[in-house]
Amino acid sequence: MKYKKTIIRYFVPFIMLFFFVRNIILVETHNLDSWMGGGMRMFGKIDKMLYRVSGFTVEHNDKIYFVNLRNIKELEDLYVESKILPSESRLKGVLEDIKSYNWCYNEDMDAVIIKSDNTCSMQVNSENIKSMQVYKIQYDNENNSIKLELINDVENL
Amino acid sequence: MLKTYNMKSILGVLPSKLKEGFSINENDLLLLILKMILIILLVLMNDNTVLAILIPVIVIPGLLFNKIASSKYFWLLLTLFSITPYLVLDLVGYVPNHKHIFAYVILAITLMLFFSEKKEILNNLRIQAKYIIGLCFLFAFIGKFLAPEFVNGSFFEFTNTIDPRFFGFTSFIADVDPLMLKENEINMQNLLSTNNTQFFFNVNGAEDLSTIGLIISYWTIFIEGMIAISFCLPSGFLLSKYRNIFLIAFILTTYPIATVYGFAIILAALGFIQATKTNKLTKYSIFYLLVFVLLPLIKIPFIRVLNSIF
Repeated sequence: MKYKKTIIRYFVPFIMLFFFVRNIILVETHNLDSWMGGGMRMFGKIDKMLYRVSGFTVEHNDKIYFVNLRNIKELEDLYVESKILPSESRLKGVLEDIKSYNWCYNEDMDAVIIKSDNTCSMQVNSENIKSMQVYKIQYDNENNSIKLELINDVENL
Repeated sequence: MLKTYNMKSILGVLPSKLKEGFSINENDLLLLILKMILIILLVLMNDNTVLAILIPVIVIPGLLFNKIASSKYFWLLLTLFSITPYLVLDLVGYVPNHKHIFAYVILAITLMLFFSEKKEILNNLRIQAKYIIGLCFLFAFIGKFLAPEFVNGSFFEFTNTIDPRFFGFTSFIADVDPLMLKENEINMQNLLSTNNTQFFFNVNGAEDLSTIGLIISYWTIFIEGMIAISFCLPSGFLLSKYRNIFLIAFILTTYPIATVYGFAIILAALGFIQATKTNKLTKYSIFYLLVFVLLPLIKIPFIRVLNSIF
């Protein structure tokens, strides 16, 4: 009876501890956003998924273009999940999903965009998709500048 | 004969009433607590289409009928609906930490309703609320030391000049032109949407915040550490008796500046639960209850209002 009471009493604290430890491990090994995953580590690190940039590179006319997933409404779920946990396996999965869409080159914008009914006619073959990248913010407090720093990069094989 | 009160007599008895606490039946108190949690779920548990449609259908009967609100099977159903998105699928979609706390609280209530004797339910819930607050702050406290940018003050330099929720505070405390802060926000949005990964920009106003950034960092470490220790320690320890003072200091110094509504309201509810005593609302529990009710007012941009007046 007493044993059961103890289990009930410490069940929720134990679950909380599990999520905290999982957070630390995944942050160190799989680039998890430290604010996520129930680790309660909010307001600690500057790097968080809201300040991450996720996208892929694609080759067109001998030029490499970076396509930022933030600008593609249709891929919002992929954009969010790739920023939360940009592990090797997750990015590979996201890259496969990206390849299943149709892409095209927009001359006016000089950019590769998702193909919709009334946009560009120059189709970009999904075989030309080279890799998927996720960047984080790097804040330099010496000269107060902000730039992007690569977290993970997965090649399209 | 009807007893009449005037303002003077109310003000006369208020201090002693606050000191000894207001009487309340344990059953009524349990119902009040359960309904506070249900209100939170109704307002904030709408992360996806399924939850946005189903949660009101489940929660509203609980708010209307006491028998449903106190049914263990009703809370078991809520446990399933909260654990799935917040604890199982939490690394797929955007699940902020306070949503994990929602799931912990619902789980704790369900466990207590299923496995506690009736007269012990509320007492056990008080202990669970104390543990949840204590561990939450303990993890946050440890997390600060795992972030070098927090300890050297650059986290708040960055956040106060980039995150628009802090612009009112930054312009007030460091006399930084709000237009320069707005420019930071625009630059940040451009960086996040860029197709040029070499893009960079300089942050306006950060140089004025290095000392303030350090002060805020050390205050945060101190107050979170004190909350963690005082809530995790058994009630017999002297420091544990001051836990509500630390938590109230945190609430008063944090939420007028950082308007994190979801976290603040669950913290107020948990604060309320653990601060009640058998058949009694203490002065601390009344404070948390007031915070719970008045919390939507934090959305008023107080500092901007003050700036425009003076």
